[in-house]
Amino acid sequence: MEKTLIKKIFARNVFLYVLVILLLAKSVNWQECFIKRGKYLLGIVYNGSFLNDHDKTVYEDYLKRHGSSPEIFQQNL
Amino acid sequence: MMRNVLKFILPLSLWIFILRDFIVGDIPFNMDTNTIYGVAKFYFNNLSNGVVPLWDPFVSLGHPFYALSICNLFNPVTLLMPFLKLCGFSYNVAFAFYMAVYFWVGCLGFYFLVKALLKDKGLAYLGYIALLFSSLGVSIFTQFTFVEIVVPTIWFFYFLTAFIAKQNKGNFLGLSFAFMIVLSSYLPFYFLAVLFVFVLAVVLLFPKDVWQYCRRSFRFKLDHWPLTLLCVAGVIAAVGPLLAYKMLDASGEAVSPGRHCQYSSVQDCYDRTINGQGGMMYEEIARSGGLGERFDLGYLFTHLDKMTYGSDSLFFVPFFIYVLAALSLFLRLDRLNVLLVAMMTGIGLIGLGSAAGVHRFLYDHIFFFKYFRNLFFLGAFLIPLSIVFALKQLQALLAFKPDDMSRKKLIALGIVFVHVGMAFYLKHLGGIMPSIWLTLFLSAALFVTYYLGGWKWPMKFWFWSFAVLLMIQPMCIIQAYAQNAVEFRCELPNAHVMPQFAWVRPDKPASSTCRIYQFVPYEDFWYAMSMQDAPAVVGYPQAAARWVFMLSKQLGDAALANYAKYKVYLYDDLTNPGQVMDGTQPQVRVAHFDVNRVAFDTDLLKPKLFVYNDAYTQQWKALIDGRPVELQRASGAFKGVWVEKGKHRVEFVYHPPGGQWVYLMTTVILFAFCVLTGIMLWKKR
Repeated sequence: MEKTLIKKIFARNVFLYVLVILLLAKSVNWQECFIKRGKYLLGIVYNGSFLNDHDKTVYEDYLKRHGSSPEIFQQNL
Repeated sequence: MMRNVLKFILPLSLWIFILRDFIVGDIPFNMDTNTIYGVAKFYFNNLSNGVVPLWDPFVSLGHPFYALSICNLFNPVTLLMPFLKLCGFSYNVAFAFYMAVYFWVGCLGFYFLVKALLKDKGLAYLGYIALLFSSLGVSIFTQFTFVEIVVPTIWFFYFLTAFIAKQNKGNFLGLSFAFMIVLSSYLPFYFLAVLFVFVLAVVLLFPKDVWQYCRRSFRFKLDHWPLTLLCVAGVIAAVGPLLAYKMLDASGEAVSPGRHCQYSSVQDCYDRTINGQGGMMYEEIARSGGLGERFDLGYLFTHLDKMTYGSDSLFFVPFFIYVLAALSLFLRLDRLNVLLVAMMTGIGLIGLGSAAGVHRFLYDHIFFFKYFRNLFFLGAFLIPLSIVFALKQLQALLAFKPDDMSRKKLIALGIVFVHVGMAFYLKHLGGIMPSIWLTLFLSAALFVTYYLGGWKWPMKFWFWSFAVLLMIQPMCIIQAYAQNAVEFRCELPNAHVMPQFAWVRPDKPASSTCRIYQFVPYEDFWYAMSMQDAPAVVGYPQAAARWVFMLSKQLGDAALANYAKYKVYLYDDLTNPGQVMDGTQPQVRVAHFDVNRVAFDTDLLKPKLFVYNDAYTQQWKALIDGRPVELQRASGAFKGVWVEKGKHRVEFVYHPPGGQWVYLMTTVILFAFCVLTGIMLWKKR
């Protein structure tokens, strides 16, 4: 009974999705991604002078979601 | 027939209507598309003047026009640009139109690919709609490179699928032609990375099929050896521009492009380049431009209406695609699903660069991973892959047709459960557009209706409903994006130019209030587009000739600009200051000027060293009265020849490896292959 159930779960997409999520969670340095994306959203990747304030909403929301703030982020660049 | 055509044209018309401000040229191209436009305009403008441009004499005191090898200029579809120009359109409108058509060609290819994979016209049409209304289409105005690398890849995989199913000449020609376009449109390494992941996954998942395919394919090539030889010759011709680029690069006469050295000192980068150390250091590749920098999982859904035209990280597929993926949780897992997910994961991990270990491993062990950065370009391949995956799930969902009431209720409950779960997740994220809520609600209603007995209704109804679901949310995103871009309105140089020789270079750079220049210093391309001289500085170059670069480091930009402001000097000998020619003296007159060649008529009273302050490289030749003479590297970095007294014609001509013929030949051969493939496929049809 248990074997059949496990076999059934393995034969479904959900098994594959869990595998991919585990792989991504374990093998990716998300902290590095967070810092790089923050820099990019702030605009310094392109103009080097923090001018990209146009999508500020996105940027601030992004930091908030990751438990950070513009000040903390800028101080630690 | 007419209905079929309308079926494809109507969504396209809607797409064009929403993006009309971009298409008619009111909003300028930004970022890399601006670069590509500058290159394309320079190329076709000069081509229609009867010159294949190989040298750019306007910027950085003259440098090789490298970029022509990597901007998709030889593609038969690109020829639309000069054609439209001939029809009276301005260059920027012609370019926007060409980009839209090329993207549409990709969407059509995707239709055929989905049809070949899933054997269903309705699903193929949904694939066409989903790709048309994905971020790939919008990104053509900031990152046309996405489309340049994805479109031939889509056609390549379509012809590969078709060739596996049916080995005939048309499919083989199509496969070869798509590969030729990959090689001639941009750096082929992104495609090779995708092919690498595909081959790896397919060998692991379908070993027997791969073996059988290889055997059949080998036999086909033996049986049709003249065709095989023709295709090999075509591929060699297609790689010609890239080889010419590489040969010039390897000559050490120029550094290109300087941007690849963005994170080391320019001198260090240049030293490595001229010492023949190709490729980039890992830090140069990994420091920026990875997928993690451009995309964030949360932003697949939120604030999609807030993205600025100053960003090239807009990434979305229709929200309904995610709904399908979520609904597929408990569907049966098969090998094609695994293949698609493995490809997406593999490409994603490579694209993440240093944030994941995969890219570093490949960089260390496979040579071509040293030759491309901007790994976020790989994200463009995830769009068609995710759409194919979702449509395959839709196929499985639609195949399920319950007829007893208890099962109907159970499935309907499951559908509602998944949708409510997604709604909670979206609510938690915040910043969700109303169109996403609408899509989610309609999706739940449609699927519940379907499983409660709606599956008995005509399938056409369902496919049209799904098509609408696919379009609602992306249309709102694109609309918002177009509105956000309005403040970027300004005009780029777009008129046809007959380049004129100027004796003096300007002191100050051209200024532009265009907001697009806030993001990248694209003034270099402004000069190329308008074919006017830039100030005599090298600074931080996109590309520069070797000796000019060295001189700028030795003298400094100010001293160099002071000297090289004047283009022609006459010297009695090099120990005395030269005499500046500014076009008013009768001793020297310009007889001819184009970007590859300049001729002067001289009438001197005594022999003099004639110095033309345009960068010296070994590929330049000098002629006096039609006879080759020794070209000297004068004043450290420029072109000089000794001219006798009396009347003479002094010419400087640029002859890089392959000359202009390699580009013309590639254009003709690609066009011929395109026609041949079309004829073959039409006959088979």
